[in-house]
Amino acid sequence: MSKIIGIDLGTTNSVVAIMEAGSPKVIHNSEGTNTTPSVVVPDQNLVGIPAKRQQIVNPKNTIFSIKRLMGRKYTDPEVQELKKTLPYEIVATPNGLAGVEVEGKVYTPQEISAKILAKLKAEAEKFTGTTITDAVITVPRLF
Amino acid sequence: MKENKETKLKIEQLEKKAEELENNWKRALADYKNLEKRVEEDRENWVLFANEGLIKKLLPIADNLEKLAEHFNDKGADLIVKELRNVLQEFGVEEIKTDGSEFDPMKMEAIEMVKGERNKVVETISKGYMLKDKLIRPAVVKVGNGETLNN
Repeated sequence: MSKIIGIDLGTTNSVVAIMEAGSPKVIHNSEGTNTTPSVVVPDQNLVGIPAKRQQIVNPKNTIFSIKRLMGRKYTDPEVQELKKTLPYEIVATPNGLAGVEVEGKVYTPQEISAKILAKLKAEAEKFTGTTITDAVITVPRLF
Repeated sequence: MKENKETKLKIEQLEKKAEELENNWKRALADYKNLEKRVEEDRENWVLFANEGLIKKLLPIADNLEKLAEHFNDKGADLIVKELRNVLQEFGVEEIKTDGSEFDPMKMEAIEMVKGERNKVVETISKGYMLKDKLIRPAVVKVGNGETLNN
């Protein structure tokens, strides 16, 4: 019987946990910490702490706080405000929503978040030794 | 007739209960198996990394001692540093090679970009260490930005 994991997809950090004998247990990542920074380098498939470690030398391609763009239109005043402060390129995706451009390729916030979720799922699979097929993901308060 | 209906309902209820209990039992069994496996893993890690906490605390002292030896240029101090390094090595601590090598975010943390060959480590601020293939402290480095030193 496959386990269902619970993921807190945060703006800054994300956490994955499973229920074990009736109580939740946080799964630590391969770097040994309970929380994984929600930082992604999409073209190198770096997620979490390693992505954060190279942020300074690779600011244009290191995506963080992607949740703030999630579901927002490119023309949204908040997106335009973020565009002024964030080091990476914010662009409009074909459907008018905000996305990010890394090394000439456009990613939607969903694609970036998917890389974080995939990493957490992989950590959970390593921890439980099973294939995880179901997950519960937190819904942000402001959505 | 009425009794029959009641019995049927009772059977349904009991079947549902049995199914629920079986599921719970399976879940508990799976949890137990996982726990067993993890205890085994933890035990192995315990043996391998029991010293990690202590070593992590000793590393900054080793750093300072090294700096001190460098500063004093004293044979005795050099010997102490060498001795300490040997002890750390004996326990499986390995220094991460940084100077001149490619920046590797899996083992190094970049704090600044400076003039130098692109994506190469120009300067090491603090050394990084591995303990038996596990990163216990990333090296803190300055990385080249692609500009040459001349311009």
